[in-house]
Amino acid sequence: MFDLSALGIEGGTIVMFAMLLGFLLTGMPLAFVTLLVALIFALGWFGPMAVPLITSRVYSFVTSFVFVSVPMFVMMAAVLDRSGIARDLFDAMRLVGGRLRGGVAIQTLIVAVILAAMSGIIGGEVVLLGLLALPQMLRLGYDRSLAIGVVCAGGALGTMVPPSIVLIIFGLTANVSIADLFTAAFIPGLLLALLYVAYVLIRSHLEPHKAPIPEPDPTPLAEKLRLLKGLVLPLMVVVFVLGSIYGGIASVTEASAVGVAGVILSTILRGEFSLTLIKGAALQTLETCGMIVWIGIGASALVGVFNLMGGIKFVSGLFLGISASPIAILILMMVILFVLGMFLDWVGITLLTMPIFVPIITELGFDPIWFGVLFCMNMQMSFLSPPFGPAAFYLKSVAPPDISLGDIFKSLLPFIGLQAVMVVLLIVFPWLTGRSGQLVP
Amino acid sequence: MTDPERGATAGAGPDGIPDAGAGPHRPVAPVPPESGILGRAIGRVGMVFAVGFVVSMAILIMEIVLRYGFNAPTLWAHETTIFICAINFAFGGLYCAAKNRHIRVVLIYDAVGPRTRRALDVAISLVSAVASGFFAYAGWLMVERATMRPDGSFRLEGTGSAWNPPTPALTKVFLFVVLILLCVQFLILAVNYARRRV
Repeated sequence: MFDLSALGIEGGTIVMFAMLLGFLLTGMPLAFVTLLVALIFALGWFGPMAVPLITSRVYSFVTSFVFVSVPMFVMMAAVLDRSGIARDLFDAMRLVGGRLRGGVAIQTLIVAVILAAMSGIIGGEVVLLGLLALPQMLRLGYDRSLAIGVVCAGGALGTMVPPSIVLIIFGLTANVSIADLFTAAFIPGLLLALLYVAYVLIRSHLEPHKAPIPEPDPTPLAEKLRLLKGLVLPLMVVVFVLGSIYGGIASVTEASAVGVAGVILSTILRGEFSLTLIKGAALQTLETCGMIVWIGIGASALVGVFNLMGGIKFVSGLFLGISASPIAILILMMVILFVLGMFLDWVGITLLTMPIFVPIITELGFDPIWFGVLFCMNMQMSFLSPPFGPAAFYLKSVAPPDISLGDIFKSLLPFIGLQAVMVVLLIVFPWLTGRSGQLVP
Repeated sequence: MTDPERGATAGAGPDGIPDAGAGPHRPVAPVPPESGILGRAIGRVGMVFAVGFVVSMAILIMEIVLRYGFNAPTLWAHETTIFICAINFAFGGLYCAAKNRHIRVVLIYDAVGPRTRRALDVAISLVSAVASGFFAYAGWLMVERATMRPDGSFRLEGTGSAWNPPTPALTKVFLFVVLILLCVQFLILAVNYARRRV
């Protein structure tokens, strides 16, 4: 049998990376690429003795209690997509926008934040907003790229605003408290949303033709009150989910189940509940979790083998040797994550890079929770950045046919810029997360 | 990185991506014909597992109610939900393979002509079959240790909690079975891709 360990750790790392890249570019599913490479290295480097190590890592990955929250949040979003809850929420928020210039865009952003605080799954949100808000803004004569940008960037807020599935998976990989991550991400998430609002207000003030004021539309008070009812159920779900996490009443996993129950209860109250609805939502959950978990299985096997080879120590040595300045290393990491984010999905990035990056971060004396928020902000960008930003593809699936992917990506550039501003703000002012950014000894 | 082709038409990605449109009757994407009889069977059995998520949710809610309402937390709620979800996660991979919904980078795949793409499809399926077959062997080593004492007599590994259900052993056996089926499914896909006209 060939002996890969003869390559040494430098050679081994390069060969592993080349193999990953080569297989990935053929279009082979990420989950099976990582599994295959992991097994090749386990056998070729250590021999059959190392194989049980991989399987035990995989086993502990799929049987962690925190991971149970992932299907719960996915199911919550799947039920939400299939109900009219978001539509009514959007109608209710019309009262906020009113006759303000850029009002509908701001209304969209507020709805996006509430939806994000309910479930933290981005795909569904972009589609919902694409169906609800985009046609309305286009009809009112909003500038196309402004409207598209608001819908995509707003829909992607689910990553930052707790409960966020990205933070959950980061917490699992980095072995830090998910409740702490949620607490730290709260203000930065809201700030990002506020940054978007400010951008919309400024743009529409400078170029009034891009965001026309709607014709006065006298809504009687009774109608307004009726519309406001659309706010009650979503806010109730937000309070239940975030309340039970922040209040320490239930674990994140239990809170996610409360969220599912809350959304299902809402559909029952609204008379929308049906067996078809729940079956469709459950099947979609199975499919989505199949994708996420198997990427996780492969990545966790690969990282396990790489660590055993001494690879993690080797890579962190490389990183620490690059510069004496911790901030320079941190910025380099952010750049690497951004570039990876252009091509890989966030689940793969989190599970492949965080086991390597987080120990370096703690070694440099940074706070891993603060880094988690920073990482999550960075992954926000990966949702929007070309050529594979998922948010653009979700929107494309529901946007009018004359809007091309190129249009969408172009519209997203200013919003990616705003996210980058937020990353910088978090690095310069770590207290925005409510933490010092440094590890307290 | 989603699969842009499918992302734009049917919806794909790691995030619970809805298909075009929303609403209670939005159809779930069908199993492609290349997956054969096994694929169709997997697609059909999917519902049994999917319901498991709803059951898990109910168990978790019940646990919260029992704990706060009746001050009577159970021993089994958490371990049961972990077991159901672990089984579902394992099956989910098989389900995605049958439906060809696993996430991949399609940078080159999308740029090539139909003939090259068919060749890629066959090669990818074969290599994936090798990967899962390989992993099934690893899974077998794990199953051996979870179902046998060192002297070779039968026992099922438990969680070691006060309740101590044999769920770890069952999960490992199930994962092993899923890996074998995955390998078979990829072989079926490879054969059917090879037979596809272009």
